[in-house]
Amino acid sequence: MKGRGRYGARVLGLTMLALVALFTLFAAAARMLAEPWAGFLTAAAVALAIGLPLRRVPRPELEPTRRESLVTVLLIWAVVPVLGAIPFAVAGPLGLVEAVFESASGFTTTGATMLTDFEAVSRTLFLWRGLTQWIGGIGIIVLFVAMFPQLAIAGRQLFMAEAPGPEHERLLPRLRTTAVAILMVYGGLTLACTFAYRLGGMSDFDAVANALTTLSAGGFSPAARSFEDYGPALDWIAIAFMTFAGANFSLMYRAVMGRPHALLRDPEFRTYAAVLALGALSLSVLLTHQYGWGEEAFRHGFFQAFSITTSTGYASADFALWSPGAHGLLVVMMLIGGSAGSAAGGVKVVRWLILAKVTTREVRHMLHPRAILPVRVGRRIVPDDVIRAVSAFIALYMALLVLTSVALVLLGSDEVTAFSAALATIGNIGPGFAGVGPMVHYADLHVVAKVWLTLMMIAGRLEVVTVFVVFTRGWWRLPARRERV
Amino acid sequence: MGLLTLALALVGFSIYAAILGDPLGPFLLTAVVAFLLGAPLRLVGRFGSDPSRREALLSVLLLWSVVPLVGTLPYVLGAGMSPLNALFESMSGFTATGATAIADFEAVPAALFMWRAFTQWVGGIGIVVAFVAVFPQLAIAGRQIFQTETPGPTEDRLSPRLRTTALAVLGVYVGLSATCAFAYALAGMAPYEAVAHAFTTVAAAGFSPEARSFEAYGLAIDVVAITFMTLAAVNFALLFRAFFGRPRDLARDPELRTYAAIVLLAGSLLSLHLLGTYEAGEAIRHGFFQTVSILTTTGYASADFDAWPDRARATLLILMFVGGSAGSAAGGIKVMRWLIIGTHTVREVRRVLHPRAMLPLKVGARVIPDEVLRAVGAFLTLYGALVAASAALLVYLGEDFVTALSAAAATVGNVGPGFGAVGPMASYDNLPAAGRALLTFNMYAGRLEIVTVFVLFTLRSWRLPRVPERQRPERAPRRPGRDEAQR
Repeated sequence: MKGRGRYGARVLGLTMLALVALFTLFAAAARMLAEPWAGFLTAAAVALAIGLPLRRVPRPELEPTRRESLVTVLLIWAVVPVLGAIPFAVAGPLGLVEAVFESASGFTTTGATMLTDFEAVSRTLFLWRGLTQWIGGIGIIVLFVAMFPQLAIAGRQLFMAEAPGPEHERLLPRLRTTAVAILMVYGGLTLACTFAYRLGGMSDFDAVANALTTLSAGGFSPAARSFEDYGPALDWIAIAFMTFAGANFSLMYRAVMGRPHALLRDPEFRTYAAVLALGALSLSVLLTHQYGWGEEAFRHGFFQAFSITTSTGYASADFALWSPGAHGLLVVMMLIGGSAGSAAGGVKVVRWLILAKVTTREVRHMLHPRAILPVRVGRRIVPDDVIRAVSAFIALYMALLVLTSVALVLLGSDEVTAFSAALATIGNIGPGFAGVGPMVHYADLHVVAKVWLTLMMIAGRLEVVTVFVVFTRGWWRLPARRERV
Repeated sequence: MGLLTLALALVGFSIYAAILGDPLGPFLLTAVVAFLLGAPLRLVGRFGSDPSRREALLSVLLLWSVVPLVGTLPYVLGAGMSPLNALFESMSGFTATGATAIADFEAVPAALFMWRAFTQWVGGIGIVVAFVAVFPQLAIAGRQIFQTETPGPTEDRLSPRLRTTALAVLGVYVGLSATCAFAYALAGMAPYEAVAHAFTTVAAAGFSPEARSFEAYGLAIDVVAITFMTLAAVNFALLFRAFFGRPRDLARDPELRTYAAIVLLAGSLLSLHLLGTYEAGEAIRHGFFQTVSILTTTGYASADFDAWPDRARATLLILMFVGGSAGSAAGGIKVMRWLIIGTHTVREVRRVLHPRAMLPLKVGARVIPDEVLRAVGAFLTLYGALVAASAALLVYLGEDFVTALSAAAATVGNVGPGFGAVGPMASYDNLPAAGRALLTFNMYAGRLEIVTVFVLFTLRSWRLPRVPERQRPERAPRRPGRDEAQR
């Protein structure tokens, strides 16, 4: 039993120390720019205070068990957003609850904001806000591609073979190779995006801040009215990079590494592309009532369809003012979400693909109840346990959606605000409609609602089931002997 | 297509018989049409073998489309409704939904209201028999799980089984209706209204000859309605057994227990929300009335619940999705399915920690087989997809969010009234024609468990079987599906 129970502590310690470095850097930068820097310094101090003692936990000798891996993930996603909130609260523009919401919205790449007055926020803080999403994005992709498949969470075991790196490797080495591979694609795309934005006419600062949140499908923008004032060229650039942000990163890695067919042959990518194209075209047609038959309708249609489906949450116009038909379409796209190996939120395209195939099979089964009909995605047969996990995931997702909407209505929001806020936070999208529309903020909600939605963002980010394990009886019973990893 | 003929003829005759008592022209004409349709089919003759799976499905589907079609005639002839509205009304009747397209209640003669109520009663018993007897055998949408619960020998083949079960359930149904009518009359309703309401209460349907539903009635009648609506959404086979000496079965049934818990919980919650609108006694009365009415998919209204606060309306909207118990005339998703999916979800969450653990799925003492779980999952998906798609279409046709979603949920779930433009005191006539046509289909699909209807869309169901079909080959080798030729 040597080394058991040390993983959470050790990983947390390392993360804290990395954060200390980051915070110090930001504090120095803020100092140089003569902006408020006390917040970053406080955050660095707190992170140091937590990280240093944990540094003394010795290196564990065993592979982490399933329970330890889960604890570590949950712990990181609970502690880091709280620490990240300090710069917003201390010498910053937000209260405590609001700051934690903003920070969680960052690390979960949601993009729902509490900021009411964008003028009052310093540039370093905007940069930090963008960086939380970038970090959260790469963190979740690595987790999704390397760790969750091995832990068989929410049907992710299906993608086991997709992670870059040798197939039957153990958890940690595999995590490392995958992280490096994906970081390359992610970083490369971010750089390319920054340059493209710069060429398209953004200022240096805006280009960096927006690129950080584009590739992570996050959606925070330093501009109060998001992409509304940036102009057509930048909208189209954003559309292109959002498409990448919602695609499977390990597939893109393989495409870059000389197998460009991998992308086109992948059933999820094909469905994803079809959903994007179909959604964007129908939205554009709906918008012609408002903008006329011209570039503008199609630009807004494509921009919003891509932004919502990939769960980014930028707005090129105030879509809360659009027609109910457009709203209905956007709600559907919010539910669909991006691809499985990206930082996009939502239910994700593969899961819908699996669900649709299972449903078709069951309808067929009615006529031929004894027929053996395997469910296939692409050429692969989907195993039964994946199907079960996916259906449970969707059930839980919907239940949470309904529960959250009801809770918000009880706390005094109107029906549309409540439902869209629930959808936008659990799906890690960001803006909703009405009271939480793209040009307003979440600050007017009830305090309890803010706390609740903060938890929902984290639950949605960690595939819901991961968080709910905590509520099972077995979780709290310590293992007597060895676990069955 | 043997069973189909028999059923059609039967229904033709029953319509005929029921209508003869009414001296009005429209009904006579309808009866003639039904007779003309039914009589030639009656000549097709009895069939030697059990109906195949395909035949059974087809006859159910056909029955629920032809009968409402014939049922439209009285509305067109008697009240001058447009064909589409008449079909909507008739479908709403035979599917025990209770959504109305009648805008002006004054213009409709009393006999037509009785006919309207009667269609719901017939639709109610039809669906209970179909669910209890036919669907479990066909293993539709997870129904096979209720198979052992039906009275009558399980080893029997479809036809004899259909008869015993139908008789038992019919007994409960008729008994409940009669008691209900009496109770209404005792509580102060006029005989005509008592009968009309009893028809639609026990069918969990919700048509009322009153334009303002139950708003005009007093406390006593509301209490009677609450009681009988609650009973109407309990598994009739279970009621049957409880009545014949096994009342303990009631308390032991996991579905009934959950159902009762939901009624109590949602009722109290709703009453609480209404405290601001009414005084305490009234709040409890309306709270429980509306909870039961919506949960059991009846759709009566004791007050204009569309005018209630958002919190109350949200609660009701959720109840629409829950629905009554399996094996009753109630619509919606049904408590049993939610139980199964809930248990399954909890199990999967546990599995995150122990991925190899064998955790059987149990509801009550029974282990749910995998195929039931899969069927229930597919059913829920289709249900959700149908509601979402119809809501989206209605929004596209220009309705607001709340109207669209509630109209979709109220028709697929066979509830009746929704919110906004389709509220309890309004009429579906407010929707555009395309919307009404869509919702007519929704009622039909919702009533027949959706999956059944979607089979029609699979290519294979159109291919005629040449070889013996695969249903239970070990017991009765099928004959080729050309029974008529062999007569």
